[in-house]
Amino acid sequence: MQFYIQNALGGLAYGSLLFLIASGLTLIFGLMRIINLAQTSFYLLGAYIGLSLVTHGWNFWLASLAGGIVTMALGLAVYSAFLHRYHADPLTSLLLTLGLTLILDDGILALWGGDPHSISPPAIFAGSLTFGTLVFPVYWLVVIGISFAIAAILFLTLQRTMLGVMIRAAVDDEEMTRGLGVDVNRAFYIVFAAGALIAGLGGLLGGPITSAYPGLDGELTPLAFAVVIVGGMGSLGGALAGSLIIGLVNAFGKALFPELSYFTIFVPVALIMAFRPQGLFGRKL
Amino acid sequence: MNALLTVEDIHTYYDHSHVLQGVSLRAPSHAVTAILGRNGVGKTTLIRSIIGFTPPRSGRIVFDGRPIERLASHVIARRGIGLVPQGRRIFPSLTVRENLLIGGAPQRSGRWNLETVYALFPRLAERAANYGGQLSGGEQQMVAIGRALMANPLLLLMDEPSEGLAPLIVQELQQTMRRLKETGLAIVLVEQNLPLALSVADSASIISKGRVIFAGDPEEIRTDAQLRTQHLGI
Repeated sequence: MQFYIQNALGGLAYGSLLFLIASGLTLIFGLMRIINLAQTSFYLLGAYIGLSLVTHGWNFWLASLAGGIVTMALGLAVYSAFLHRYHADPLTSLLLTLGLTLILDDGILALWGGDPHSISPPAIFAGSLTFGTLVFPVYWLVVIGISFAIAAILFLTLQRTMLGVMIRAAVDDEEMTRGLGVDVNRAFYIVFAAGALIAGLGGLLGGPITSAYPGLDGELTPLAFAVVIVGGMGSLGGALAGSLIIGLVNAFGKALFPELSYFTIFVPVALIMAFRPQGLFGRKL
Repeated sequence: MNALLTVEDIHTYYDHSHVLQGVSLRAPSHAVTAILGRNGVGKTTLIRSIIGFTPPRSGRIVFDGRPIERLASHVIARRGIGLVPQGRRIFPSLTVRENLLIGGAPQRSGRWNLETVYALFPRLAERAANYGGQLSGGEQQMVAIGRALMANPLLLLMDEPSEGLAPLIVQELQQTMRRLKETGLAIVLVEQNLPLALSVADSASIISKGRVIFAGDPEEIRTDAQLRTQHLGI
């Protein structure tokens, strides 16, 4: 029993970090048909920026937010300089974001070196909780809580605000949305910025779980894509469900079949592709 | 008569296909201008050219005294052109209420708002919380018209509004168009249903193979059998 609870909690914590990356991936794809491969590099960049600020004495939460904001600024710069020309052109935008990933990876290596950095959670959450024989880090619960709070903000924005109505309309039928007098390009900037911000601030937040090292982004990318495929492209609810599923499968896969650990996450992907190719919450293809 | 919308000799292409080959049109305010013609002659392309979805490669479009042929669609819509598109294109992920609200995005003031649209189409008030994908054809058409009205446009572009509707619903549509005209709205109506178009139109144009081959009194179309058989196939 202890084994299951332990891995379930670890999987949920890891999955809720995946949500911070995959929510942007799925919304950016759903709205502008851009596959943003750099989404996980945004996460890693945010982690390194946050880490540097923490070592300069910054508060952990402020450093995390600052990492998100710097990443968002960089994302917006790349979007307005290059990417905005290639929405609805998945291949070109994919190559562009692949190039961005390579540049970011090399930049990170040049600035922060190749050694892995472990990241400590803030002191008050550094301890463990003990229930009988069950022991797990308090910080896992904090990460789950923060990710769910961010998910709630995203859901409320999409469902309850005029901006959300415009975004959902543009995902349904972009041309018609423009024809009604909506400046869809503005929504594109906002969604791309939000995606970069959330992934960027996730970097330091997730640091105590994933640490930060060159190549982490490349390891996370298949997981983030698995989330989007399982959940359904363009669906925020799908990203949340997919993140938790992939997080759990990943945790139990590593514990039960360590030699197959990287393979197990593709079991749900293969099942979804065979039986429900649009994903759990995606629209019919 | 001063035209609200003037289309002057526009040429519009889809890639290499030259669809509109010099089309001109005048639509006065307070009037319904019908665009008639067989399938595939460029009627929908004309609508798409005006709203900026498929901008013309040459020619001029002047609306409310200013050229609009080089503007982005959302800017054209904000100048006061409402679109009721072919196939209605209701947003399935939005509720009826949200479909209407997004129509109000241009924030132009006037008589139309949620309340007055619900008064025009009481059925929509009952269906307010339903999603766009759950509506009947007639309800979808009400949403499409209401959504366009929410922007308080000066001109309404209606592309095949009667398509796929039951005869009784088409009658209601006819009454709605008459009421809208009474409010002072200008309407450009593309329609395959000739009796419907002729019953509401103040003037009519016939397009054939990308060119306007008739522009004038709808009465002439009603009486000229040769015009009808040759260019409308009726």
